[in-house]
Amino acid sequence: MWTMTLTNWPPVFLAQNLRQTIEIRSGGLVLVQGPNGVGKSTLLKCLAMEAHRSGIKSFLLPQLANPQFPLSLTLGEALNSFGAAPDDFLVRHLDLNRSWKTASGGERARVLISGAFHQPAKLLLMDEPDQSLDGESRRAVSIAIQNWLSTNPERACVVVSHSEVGWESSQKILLEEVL
Amino acid sequence: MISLFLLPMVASALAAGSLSLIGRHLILRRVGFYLLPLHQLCVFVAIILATLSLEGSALRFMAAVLSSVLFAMFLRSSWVRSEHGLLVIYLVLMAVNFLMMRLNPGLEFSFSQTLFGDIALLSQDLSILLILGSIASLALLTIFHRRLFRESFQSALHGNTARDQTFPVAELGLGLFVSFCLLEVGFLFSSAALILAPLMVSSTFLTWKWMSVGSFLCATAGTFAGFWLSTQSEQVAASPAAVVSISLFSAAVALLRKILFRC
Repeated sequence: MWTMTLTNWPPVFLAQNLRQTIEIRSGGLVLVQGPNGVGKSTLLKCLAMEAHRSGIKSFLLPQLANPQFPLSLTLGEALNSFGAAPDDFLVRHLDLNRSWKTASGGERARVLISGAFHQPAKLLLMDEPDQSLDGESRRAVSIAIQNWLSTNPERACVVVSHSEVGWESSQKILLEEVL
Repeated sequence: MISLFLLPMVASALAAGSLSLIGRHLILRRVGFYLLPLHQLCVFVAIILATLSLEGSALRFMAAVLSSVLFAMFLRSSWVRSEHGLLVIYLVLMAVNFLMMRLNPGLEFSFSQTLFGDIALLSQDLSILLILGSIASLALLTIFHRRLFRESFQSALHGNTARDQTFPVAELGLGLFVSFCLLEVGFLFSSAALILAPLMVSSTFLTWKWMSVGSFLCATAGTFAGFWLSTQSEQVAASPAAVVSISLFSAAVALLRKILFRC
């Protein structure tokens, strides 16, 4: 069992008179919410750095940007690069031979989230993993996270999301209130 | 005539194939532009070493090692992000190199190979080194395939992301090979082998696997064809002929794939 406390806050937070500390415990699911620009993604990066300093292996899944993709690859090849299996809960209904270029945002998100679960990390940091997902897919992601946490009590997950759907059982951090 | 050039022909074709596989990662990580300052960096380091009385292969090897360390830093850090920033470094280094070469005319001649280069002029020793370097690069690409692909893929998606904390053996080794090629085989051939085939072939192949196979074959076959053309006429230089052939082969493969796919 481990506990991690975020102490090294970046200047952008300190300038706003931050007085609280954020504590992440193994087995915990933490939901970070707040308006755009308040620093949710920065907070995840700080947590990743703190985890590295504390010797806790973490994996940060950033927001899925949608840039022009310069080379060819399929959803299956992308999934394989993470070491994830094609029969994984989140991706088993997808056509993995589909090109990454033509896949939808939801299909890409499912592949990336599924890949994140296969990283050798104790702390999973996800920045708006549900932003391009429909209601059913959001619930599927939430279930997948709960499954990932339940298989090993040493794991913890911090999710940034604007939605409450699927995150009812999580500990919530409202960044606006903290600041 | 062909038998006379067999060793440099095989060496440059194998190098072109290996470079095309390395080039996939450069394109995916959006660092293809780094080749410009890297090339001038290689020349700069080599000139400094030459002024310190290092000569011959020791000079080239040291220059390649130092430049590859810097190249690996380029790959793993985000301190140079803008293409204009890279252009500034390239221009300044080029001007400095030009000035230093003018101060010592002997250097100007010895570094002409690094600019345009001619694969037909590769010595036997150099050809063997190039073959060994190509095989080592292919081995590194195979051993570290999953990590390199995952990091390149994540760079393509999210820009520079947190990477494995392991020592970058693969990046250093591949960087050393790229630097060595830029110095010894020349900028024109090396950068074309790195970028041309993967970019042109990727427009038609759906998967990373077949795109890799296609670009490797186009790079090696194009180099053989360019070399063969240069043996037919003294007016045709091998390096530019190989570059043109690589682009023609890649375009032909892309066209053929499209025709077959439609049928």
